[in-house]
Amino acid sequence: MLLEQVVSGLASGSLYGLFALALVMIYRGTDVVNFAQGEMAMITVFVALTLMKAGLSFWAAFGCTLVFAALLGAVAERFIIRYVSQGAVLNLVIVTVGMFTVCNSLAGWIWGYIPEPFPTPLEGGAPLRLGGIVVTRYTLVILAVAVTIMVLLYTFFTFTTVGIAMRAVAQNRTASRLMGIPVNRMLLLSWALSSVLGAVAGVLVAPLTYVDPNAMSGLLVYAFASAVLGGLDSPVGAVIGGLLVGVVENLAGAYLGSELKLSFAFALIVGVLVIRPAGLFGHARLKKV
Amino acid sequence: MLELNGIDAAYGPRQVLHGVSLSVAKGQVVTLLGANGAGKTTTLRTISGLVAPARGAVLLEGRPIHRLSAERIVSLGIAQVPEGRQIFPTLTVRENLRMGGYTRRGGAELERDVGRVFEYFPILRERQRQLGGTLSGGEQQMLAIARGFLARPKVLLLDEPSHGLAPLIVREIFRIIKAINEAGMTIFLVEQDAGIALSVAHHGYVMETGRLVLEGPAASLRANDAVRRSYLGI
Repeated sequence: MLLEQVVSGLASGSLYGLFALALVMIYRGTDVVNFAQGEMAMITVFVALTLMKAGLSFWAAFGCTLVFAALLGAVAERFIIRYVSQGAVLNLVIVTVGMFTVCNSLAGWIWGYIPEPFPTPLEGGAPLRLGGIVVTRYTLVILAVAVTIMVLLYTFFTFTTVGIAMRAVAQNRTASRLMGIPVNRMLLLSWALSSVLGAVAGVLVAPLTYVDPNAMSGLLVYAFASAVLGGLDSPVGAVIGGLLVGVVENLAGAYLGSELKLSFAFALIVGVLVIRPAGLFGHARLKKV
Repeated sequence: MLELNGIDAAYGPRQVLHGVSLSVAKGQVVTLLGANGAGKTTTLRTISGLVAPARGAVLLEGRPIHRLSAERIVSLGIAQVPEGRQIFPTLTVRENLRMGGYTRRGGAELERDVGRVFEYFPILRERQRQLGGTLSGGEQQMLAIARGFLARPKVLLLDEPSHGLAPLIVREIFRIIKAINEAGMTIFLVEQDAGIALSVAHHGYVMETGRLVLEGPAASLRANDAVRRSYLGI
């Protein structure tokens, strides 16, 4: 029982981790928490649902949705964020909150507010018994996809010139320009990639919940808790924070009652901010004023 | 090689450069001297395309570049080693160097140049896997120069390479700057420390409050009374 809760916690935790990675990527590149991240993911989930209703299989719709998500992130950076990113951080925060509202209303207007079920990629199939514990097949799908994506991301940011350049831009824009790195293009890429990560997490979590315009707010809160726990500027921290939040949230839900899950996430955010504001793996940053 | 013609530059309403004209001949080290706030760094920022001049032109091999983006200017052959080094602290030394060669599309040639950089700065070879931020100030300056070198520029711009470093390390770094120049690199060097700058330079300019007030071969500047009084402290 305990071990089963831990495994299913790891699965949801890996999704929080992916989503937290999306937040961290934007935070490092743009210095702002993208509050619209959840709503952008929600839109992509609706796009996936629409495609499936039009007859595409789960995985085909998933693939198309990732392309759409990349475009959505790129458009948000190119036509909104770029014009406000030179101003005060607070301006950016307000703009992302505005994007949140716009996405939410737009989704309600297009797809309505009635919660809809989201198909799962696995039709039937009994839960598997692995070394004495019972795991659903979908749990394994989530873990496999999440791990694959994390390995791909790690490879991209460690070994490719573009990946390293994206990290360089996040650290020092002026120095990056002096190296000939196209800074704007890298920021565009960060937003596209982060939107894709959000879409992956969103589409994978959707079969476990119903889909409506507020469907991703829970994911955003848990991911935000994960990122704060791990350190907002640390990708490794985001993943580990996600796994921790997933496991503890699941255990709290199982043993204390599921009503407390979300409050638990908020308590975690507050607790971390009080005890260790930089997070487990983050660096305390001095803000230049 | 590099030429500035009548450059005016301003930050908002505050004009910083007034009609700056200078030229850097191929194969030389040319230095721009002046006190803090004279406009030296702004001159470099204008050349690199970080500041757009209000008037005047910057020419690289006769071709105007002052309307181009900073990225484009690097790929045309001007690399700048900025003031305060500005290395990437959480990238490894090796990754920092790789970013220096960003415009070059990798390949065997870049690898060969990395080898050359390690000959100039053996300490960087040892520190390859360390994060840039863990290096000492002198090592960071070496990394910054190495990074600029790897862009394989036609002109290398250096902004205050002596800044904040112990005299012994400054001498070591200038020895290497001289060696890099002798291997064929054209260098435009901005310095407050006129003594050490004139020891490697062929030609020099002196800037005061955004205007060039003096120019000449390094030897004659070293002998100039005003320079001796104001900048060499003799």
